[in-house]
Order: sequence, then C-alpha cells, then structure tokens
Amino acid sequence: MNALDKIHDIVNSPHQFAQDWKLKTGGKVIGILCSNLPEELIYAAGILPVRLLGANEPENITRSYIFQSGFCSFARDCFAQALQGRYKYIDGIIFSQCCPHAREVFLDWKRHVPVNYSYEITGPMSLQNTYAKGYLVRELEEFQKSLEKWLGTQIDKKAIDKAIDIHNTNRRLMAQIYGTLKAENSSLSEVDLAEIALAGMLIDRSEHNLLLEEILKQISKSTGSARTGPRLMLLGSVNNNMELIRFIDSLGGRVVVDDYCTGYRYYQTEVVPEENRLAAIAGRLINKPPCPLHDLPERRRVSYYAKLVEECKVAGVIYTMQRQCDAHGLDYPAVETFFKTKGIPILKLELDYTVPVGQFRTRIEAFLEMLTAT
Amino acid sequence: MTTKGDFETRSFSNEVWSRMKELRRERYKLSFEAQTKGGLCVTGFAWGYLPLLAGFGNFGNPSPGTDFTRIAREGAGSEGLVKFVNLAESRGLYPVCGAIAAHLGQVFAGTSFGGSTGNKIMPDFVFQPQGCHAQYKGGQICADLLGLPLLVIEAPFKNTANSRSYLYSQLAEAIEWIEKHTRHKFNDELFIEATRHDIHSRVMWAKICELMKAIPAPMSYRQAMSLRLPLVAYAYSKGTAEYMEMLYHEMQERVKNQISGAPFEKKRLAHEGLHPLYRPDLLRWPEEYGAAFNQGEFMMAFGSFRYTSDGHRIPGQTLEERGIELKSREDALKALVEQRYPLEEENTDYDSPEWRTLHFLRMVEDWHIDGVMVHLARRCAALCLGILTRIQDIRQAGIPVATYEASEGDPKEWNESRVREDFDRFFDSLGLKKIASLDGGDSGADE
Repeated sequence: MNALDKIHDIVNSPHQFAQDWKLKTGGKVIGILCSNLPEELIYAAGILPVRLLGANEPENITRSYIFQSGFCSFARDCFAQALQGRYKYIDGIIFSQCCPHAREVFLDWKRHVPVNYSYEITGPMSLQNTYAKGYLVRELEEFQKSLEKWLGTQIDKKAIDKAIDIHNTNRRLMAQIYGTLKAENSSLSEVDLAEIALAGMLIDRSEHNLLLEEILKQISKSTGSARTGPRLMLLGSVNNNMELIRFIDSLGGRVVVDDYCTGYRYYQTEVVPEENRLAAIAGRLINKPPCPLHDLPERRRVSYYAKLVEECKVAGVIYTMQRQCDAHGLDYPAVETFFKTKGIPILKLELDYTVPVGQFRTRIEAFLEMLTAT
Repeated sequence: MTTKGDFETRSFSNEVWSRMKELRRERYKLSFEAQTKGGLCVTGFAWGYLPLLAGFGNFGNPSPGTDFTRIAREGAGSEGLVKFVNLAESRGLYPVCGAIAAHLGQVFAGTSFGGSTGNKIMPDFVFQPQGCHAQYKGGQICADLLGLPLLVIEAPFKNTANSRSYLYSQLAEAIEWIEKHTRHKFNDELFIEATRHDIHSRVMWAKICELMKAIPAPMSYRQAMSLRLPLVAYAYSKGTAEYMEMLYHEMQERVKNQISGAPFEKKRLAHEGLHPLYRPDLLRWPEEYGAAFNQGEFMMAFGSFRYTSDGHRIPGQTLEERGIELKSREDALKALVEQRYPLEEENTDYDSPEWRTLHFLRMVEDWHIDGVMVHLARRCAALCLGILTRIQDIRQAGIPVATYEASEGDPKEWNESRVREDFDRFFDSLGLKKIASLDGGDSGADE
C-alpha cells in the first residue's frame, strides 16, 4: 500500500490510528478542539493529540445539550460523535480559547461525556496585544504543570525540543507538499492534499513525517499532469468535509491553496528556538496566520491572503462557512472587500452537516464558468 | 391595570425619576458636545473601564449608536431595529447576533453618530473593552467602516494573578495609546475621581439588588432596567454615584414601608438572559398573572458583587469600606483590575458552567424565586453557552423553569403568539391565572 493509500485509509477511519496507537504504546490520547494550541507540549508529554471532528452526517442527538439556533453545525456534529461513543478511546480533551461554539463542545463534553482529563487554556484573543505573549507563556506554564500532575511525570526540555523538531519538520514537509499544488503540473490533487493535511491531525506526527517523505519521493519521480481550470483558494470555517472538496474538483475547479484551520493554516509557521521553550511555542501561536477571532485589532489575515494570492496566482475564492459560524460571518465583508479590490471574484457557500449537492453544483458551476470567461 | 393588588405600590419619587432622566440626558448630550468642546469621543459595544476615558476629561460615548434605545423601541417598525439588522445582513454580515447587527446596521446607514438632533459626530477611535467575540469583531468592523483606530482590552474569564497582570498592563498601555492617537493628555486626578465614583456606583447598585430580597420586592425587574440606566455607561460620574445613593435610600424606605414594585407576588420569578430589547414590556407580562420578575443575571450585571465561599452573592465593598484611598494612577488602575478580579476570588472561572449554575441556584434561594424564564437568544452563542445544561440543572434542583426563543436585537426572530404561548404555559404550570391586562403598553415608569 503506498503512502497516499495509507493517508486515505486514515481519513476514512479517523479513529483507527489513535485506537491502535493506544493499544500498542499504552499511551494517552487527547482530543483537541482548536489548532491554536501548544501541540508540541502535549506531544512532549508523550500524549497523542488528535483533532476532534464531526462526521458530516445528520444528527438529532445534540438537541438536549446544545441550543440548535445558537451554535454552528460543526460544533453540534463534533459533540454528536462524543455522544455516539465514537471518541470513547480518548483520555482527555483540551480547549484553547477560540470561539464559543468550540467552547460549548468542550463544556458539554466535560459534563456529559466525562473524560479523565480536561483543560482549558485561556489564551489571549487579541494576539497582537503587546502583552499577549507574556500572558500566554504564563498560561502555558500552568498548563504544563497541569499535564505533569495528571501524568505523574515531568516534561523536560529535551522532550520539548524533540517535539518541536518533529513538528517543525512536519511543517516544512507540508510546505513542500502544498507547494506542488501551485505548480502547473501537479501529481497531487486538492483532495489528496486535504486528506494529507487532515491525516496529520489524526496520527503521530513522526509517522506523518514518514508518509510525507514517501509522498515527496513519489512525486519527485513523476512529472505530474497538467491541471486545468480556474485557480481557486478555499477559505472559511473549520471544514473537514472531503466530499465538498472532491465535488469542487469534479466540477473543474482547481484548488491551489486553502486557509482552513484543518488545512494549510494548521501547518503554518515554525517554532523559532528560544531559551524559554514555552516562549518559543507561544511565539509561534502568536505569529502564525490567525483565525478571524484572533485577528485583532488590525486585520493581518488580509495581508496573509495577499501573499497567498500572489504566490499561488489565485483567480477565484470560495468562502465556505459553517451554518451559524458568526466568527467567519463577521469577517466575511472585510474579506470580500479585500478580494474584490484585487479583482478576484468570491463565492460564499454555507455549509451544514452534509453538502447540499444540487444547490452547490449550480452555484459552483456558474462561478467557474464566470472565472473561465474572464 | 385596575385590579387591586396584594401589595401597596407607589411610584418612585419624582426626585429619583427626574435625576435618572437628567443623568441620561447629560450623557446623551456629552455624546454630541464633548468633542466640539475639546473632549474625546469614542464608540464601541460594551461599557467597561470607562473611568480610563474619563481621565481625559468629559468624553462622548455614543455606543451603540446615539438613538439605539429609541430605535429598539420601534422594534419592527419602519425606523426600528429590523431595518438596521436587514441592512447589516445585506452587507454580508450573517449570521451575526441581532444586537451587533442592529448596531452595525446603524453605522452602515450613517445614523449611528448623528441621531435625531441632526448633528454629526465622528468618534476619535473605537474602544472595545471586555466583551464577547462578536463585540470584539463588531468593534473591528466599526473601526473599518469609519476608518478609525481600534483599541481592544481583553479580560480573560479566569481570576488569576496572570489575568490581573495582563489586564493591568493593557489598561496602563491604553492610556499611552489614547494619548498618542488623540493628542489628549491624561489627567490622573480625573481618573482617580472617576474610578472612585465608578466603584461606588456599582457597589450601590449591588446593595440595591440585595434589597430586592425583601418580600415584596421594592422594585420590579422592568423598573430596574430604567432606573439603573445611568449605571450602564455613566457609572464613573459623580452624579451617578450620588444618584445611586439616593435610589438606595429610597429603596430602603420602600422596604421599611412594604412598598412593592409590582402589585402582586403570587410568584416571584427570575428572567435569565438578556431580554429582547425591542420588547421590554415582556418583563411585565407576569404582572398580568399576579406574579413579577424580581431578579435575573442581567439585572445584577452592572453591579459590583462578591461571592461567599459557598456561592452566595453579596454586594462588593466601596473603597471607603475597604479602607482604601486612591492616591495615584497606579492605585486607580489596581482598583479597576480588582473590581474585575477580586483577590479573595482567586482561581474562579467566572464563565464556567459550574460557577454560573451554582450562583444562579443561590440567587434563586436568596431572592426567594419561585420560577425561572429563560430567553434562548438565537444567533447568540455567548449568551447561550451551556444554557441547556444549566436549564437541566435548575430543573433538577426542583425549580420550575421554562424557555422562549427570540433574539435580543433582531425583531425578525420575534413571534408574539409563540412567545405568549410559552409564557402562558409557564404561568399555568405555576398555578397562576390571568387577572389583568397591561393594555399592550409598557413603561419603565410606575403605573
């Protein structure tokens, strides 16, 4: 089985690796609800962090727990997995300050699907704040103490350094992988890329590195095939819906980059070494491209998008938003204005548990036709 | 209402009502005049740490829009909230909570800082302290639209030394930021005075809320929403501090003489969540059934409280009661930080469901509440965080609880017959019968 097949299996059976890993190593698995947290520290503790996700299936099991008209479909889908017992294997959950929708999942999980360990990192929202890093470092110190108390062991600098190295390597490899999407000839499709990115959040990062190296070796031997179609950027709310990406691909859209927290943004920015390891990790969290909620007071996301547009020669943008996602809803007008001033058309789609194929087909086809015509 | 009540009701004095209205007018006038008279003008959505701004002298604060209250009353009318919510949605702001959409719609319409006087003002910057995620981002959108700098101050949920230090540093830096961006000079004496008044006003409101434990309660929830108005955005003024003392003394008299805020208290009820701003009359619906809303988290929201070790809420202490004298900028900054994070409550997570449920149950116990009506605000994740679990806990504690769905700021989410049915069913479950009609009117004034 080649590396891409393994990636495909991981994504299609998102719980399998963690369960097998637990049996094999006897280690602990922690579910995480946001990409903006100190994974290196968790990894250094010998824990496997896995991103908690929805299954993109309709559900009605959360209605006693989550106010349906107040919280996004992803949050409800995610918690539904917990209620259905699909995350029985996790030993704990960690939440890092982001949106209240994810926080609702964390709070309900703690209360109704009890785990051995839970922790909320009350990180800064306004990452540009002068004092945000110092505040975050002290929060991470408390978090480290909490982990050590739970595990009954110390997390030493050597372990943190090793974790940082593995994660930085992973980011470099992913940057190379993502780079292939920009090329005129590409051996990987966006569906492949999306699955590769998602797989990294579900398995041991060092094993992900091995798979990435294998994929890069395979790519280097291939000339790839010319990909046609308007060059698209995908961005918006958390989105692990492969069907949507496959769908866009099938209609002739050529995705060259994304800004999903379950995609490209997750792998952005390396940890820059510092004597204080927690400060180094905090530095990365402060400096990486932010999600809308952390992009305060200045809008730095748009300058990041400007860079991506230029690097990837983006011709059109598809903005996908989870139903009830007010974080991305509040940012949309500014993002739309930015792309329009660049002369780049943008299409907004509202996601739910499943992809409304008929509606999306019409809109995406029309959008692609418009892009092709111009 | 002409049915004879169980309790004597009496209007609050003319002194109290007049003074409240004077303070309201004073603050409203400041929104327009402060800048033309050389003062600051700021906008934003949330009213925290205003003493800091008062350190720059008189300032205008048209937040969230000079005519928001009037527009809220219009509700679904042609110049009401729905017009502005629709405008915000048409500009791509969806889904967004009703209140933020209504505010931003006014900014889009260019009516946010002019109002009915016809004057036009342009704030110096957007001040967005301590609020929910939608308020932070809403502040950013406002800053974008108006081309203004944005000052964000965040206060984390947990009461820790780290949070205190973070908030202190931000507040100290904010002074320099404002000086740099506006060229106004900060005056420590004005800041110290404003901080003193702010703390005093909030402590007095907490003491007023404590008097609501009396049976009958000397003030209804609806009356409180009007009478506490100066506290919301003007707590830092000497006038408000003195007004709160006046109101407190009058409340004490009312308790002594058994004067009630509502004619009946067959059931004492709490309203949980922010009520629909365009339908304040809802807060008087229980009176049609011989009951009254006496309490709720939002009633106490602007007060300064402390918590006992077993979760009871008690009024905070004034600086005088704590034996603290503010002598410097640093003292005043520390006082503001400690108002937010009392030292004796170290390690409290003010947003945790456990904390919120415990204090809610204590409130029910201490204020002798017989039932709770919860507003499930659509599109408001912040207000509805953990709410269904909290409702379950309240129910399990044996407290009758019911819900209704609407939006605090978007009248399109209001369905009168459905909400009425929810209320009627609740009252029925409490054994109440309709005894009167409010004749469709609402007034924060006494009838």
